[in-house]
Amino acid sequence: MTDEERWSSNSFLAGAISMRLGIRARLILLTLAFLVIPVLAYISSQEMKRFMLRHQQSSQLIAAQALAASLHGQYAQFQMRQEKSGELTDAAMFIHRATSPFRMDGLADEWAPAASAVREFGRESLLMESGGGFDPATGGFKLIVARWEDHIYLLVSVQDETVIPISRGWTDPGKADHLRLGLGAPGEGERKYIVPVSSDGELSFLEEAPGGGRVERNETLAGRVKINSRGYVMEIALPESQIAGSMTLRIIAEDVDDQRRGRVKSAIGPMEDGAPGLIHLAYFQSPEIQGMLDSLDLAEVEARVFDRARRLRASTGFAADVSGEGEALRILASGAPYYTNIETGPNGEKVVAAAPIKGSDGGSLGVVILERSTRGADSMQDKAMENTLWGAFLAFVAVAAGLVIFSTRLSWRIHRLRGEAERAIDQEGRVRVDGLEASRESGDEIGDLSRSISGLLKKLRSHHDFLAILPRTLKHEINNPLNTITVSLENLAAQEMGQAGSKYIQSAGRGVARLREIVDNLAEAASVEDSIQEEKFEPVDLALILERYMENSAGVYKDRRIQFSNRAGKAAILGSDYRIEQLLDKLMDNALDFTFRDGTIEARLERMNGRFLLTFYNDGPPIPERTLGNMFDSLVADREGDKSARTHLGIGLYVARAICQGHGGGISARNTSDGKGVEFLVILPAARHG
Amino acid sequence: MPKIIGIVEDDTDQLENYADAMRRKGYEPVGYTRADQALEAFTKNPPDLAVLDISLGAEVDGGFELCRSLLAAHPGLPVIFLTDRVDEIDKISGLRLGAWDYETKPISLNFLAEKVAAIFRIMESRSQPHGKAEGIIKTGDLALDENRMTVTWKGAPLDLTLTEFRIVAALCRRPGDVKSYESLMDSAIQTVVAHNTVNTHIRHIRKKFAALDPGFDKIQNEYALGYRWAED
Repeated sequence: MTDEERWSSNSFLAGAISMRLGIRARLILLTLAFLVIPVLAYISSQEMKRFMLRHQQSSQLIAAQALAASLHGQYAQFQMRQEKSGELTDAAMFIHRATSPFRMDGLADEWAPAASAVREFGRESLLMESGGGFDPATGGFKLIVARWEDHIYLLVSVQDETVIPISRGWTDPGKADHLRLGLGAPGEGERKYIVPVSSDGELSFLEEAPGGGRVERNETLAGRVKINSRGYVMEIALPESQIAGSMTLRIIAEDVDDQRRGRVKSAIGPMEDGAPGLIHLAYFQSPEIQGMLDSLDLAEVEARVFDRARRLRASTGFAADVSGEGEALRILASGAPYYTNIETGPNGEKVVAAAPIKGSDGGSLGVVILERSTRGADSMQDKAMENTLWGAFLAFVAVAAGLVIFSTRLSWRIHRLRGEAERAIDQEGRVRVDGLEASRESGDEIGDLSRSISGLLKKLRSHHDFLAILPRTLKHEINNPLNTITVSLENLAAQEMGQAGSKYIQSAGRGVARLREIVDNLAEAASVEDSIQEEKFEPVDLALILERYMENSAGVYKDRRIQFSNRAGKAAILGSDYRIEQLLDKLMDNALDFTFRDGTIEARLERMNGRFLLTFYNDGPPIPERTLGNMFDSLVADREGDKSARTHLGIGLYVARAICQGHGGGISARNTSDGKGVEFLVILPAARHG
Repeated sequence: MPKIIGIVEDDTDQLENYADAMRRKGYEPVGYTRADQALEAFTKNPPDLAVLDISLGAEVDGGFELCRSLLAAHPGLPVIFLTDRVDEIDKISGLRLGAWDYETKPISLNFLAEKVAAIFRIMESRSQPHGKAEGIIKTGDLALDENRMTVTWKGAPLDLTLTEFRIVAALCRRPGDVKSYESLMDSAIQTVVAHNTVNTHIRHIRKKFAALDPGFDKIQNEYALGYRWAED
């Protein structure tokens, strides 16, 4: 690849880029900057979301603190009273208020809403063991007490690696894994039951006679048991009336691992007031606090109030999910308000704020927990994002449309200006107008451009005008001194001169004549266009003129073969016969100059499409390619073999072209395809009849 | 007594050359470079013929003004314009003022002298009550008196300049024969051998005939050669 090729390939690329991206495309590309708006909007909406979250956190915390403050010192409300009898100890277990009935099927699934009411009994509740080696993984149980209508339901989930159900025919139910259940206050008419695990799932409640020994079935109680891989689960339903008096319950899980010997290996249950397995019961809610929460009508907020024994005393909402409580409660141990964010799913998050309720002694009475999802902030972010995207899109469309209109108009104006500027100068480089019309009155840069081009054209035109009149001015100015020389030479010649003297006078005379011819030719060329414009054209027969002209020329120039062939018949054109003759003179002069003795000069006339084509051929040497394009311009005469003594400024062909154009036609030149001659092609329009 | 030739030319070199040439031909030249001086002198002592330049110093049309004033004072005075102004409009203006001929520089002094002599001959002929029969050419509707420089077409007189008259005379002397451009130039006492110059004269002549007779077509172009007067 040569340097030039490399250069041109580089510039081709640059050219292609700059060519394809017009003003319009570039402006539209610029509008892509609008795409930054959604990005900025996203960033700011994220910022806004963070701000809203912080706001939510702090406001939620303040709300929790306010709620907690309203409960400060409300010791009376937090007096953990049993509804029926006396004070409630911290160890009292709450009865979960169920919102739907329980199915007695031994499965724990519908107990989930009561999960917060679960109480676990493990090693610390070991009442008895035999054989040592208590395995903390077995024997412990979880208890939930719930109420639905007038029944109390117990869910007892016992851990036991080796579950031994009661077998048919056994007289002693104590040989199977079993619960001991006591209903009523100990020592005050308490009724005790043994509830053995059964393999068919149906629970039987065997009541021990107050004196001991006798075991009777109690049919007022019902339940199911389900054995699973970790142990067994019992669901028990009993009439509320059975516990209503004492609000106590005794429950002990006794584990039997040796079926043959039937000995109880361990017994687990709470130990309260010297009564093994005793559990104080309390109804779930604190009605006053619940009433207060209800009256707050907290939209989208779930509020819970726990007492210091971590029992749920009041709540709004029915969300089964109580995650976060544990953590909040643990932090509560520090006694300081607290908030945290908890993820609730792939896209969900909630803010949990907790504040302690202080008692009058400064200790904690309980805790208020407010939970609220961040959906508000999220949806607000989404909404803001959506609005911004729409806004950005509409702005983009509007601005792009505006730019398209603007740039189309701009392009159109520039195209128009360019077109007009191009037309302002004709093929011969002459300025045809005084100024441009496009954007002439416009106050913008294109208007400036138009005016400055007009200014340039005006200058160019006045320069051209100057050049155009220059030959005539020159002739005018030169004629006087030329005349002085001419007449002086003549007077000199009239004197008696020697032979040498008259020789010089003659050569001076020839020089003056040559000079005069040059000036005349220049002046003729300069005025020929204007002169033709002023002439009155008449119908003339081009064929007749040509025929006579070529015939006469053949008679004058006998050392050339001059021919004419007419294929057009009568060739009427609108024109001036002596201008046509002048045109033929120029063509003939040219042909004579460049042909040799016995050379051929031939004119052919043809008709084509309402025009006449005159081919003026001579068998002279071909014209160099570089000259073909500009040989009709003034002062161009470039043909090899031009040894003529005649003045030859190429003015002849310039005049020829002016005559052709003045007649609405044109002239061109070419070398013949065989390279043996030159053809001048003159085209003149036919006269229109009628 | 030699004829007095008044010459007004602002270029003293040319003025002296003309004067020398005229003197050599036996005339008595009186030269001025300024229009006002020339007018004053010629009004008192009119020359027999005046050769005027048009641009005289600062006066662009000084020659025209002078011609008008002179002809007002001496209506019969023959005037030849000899100028560097080649424009048609100047030529028409000059001839309209009543000049016999309009010559552009550069000119041959011999031709100038010939023209002067021709004018004196014509004036002499005209001053005689009856012209000689010789020198009168008649062909078809054309009658031409070479001595008096008068032309009639179908009986109507035609006003031609000296040059135009000599071209018509050359053509109609032998109707049907082609007069070449060169011979027409010689006849018209013109130095320039350019077809276009002859063509211009022919156009003027045709126009003048056409003004009398729109169907006039006697002067025919023999392309590449010259012109001929068509035979009847």
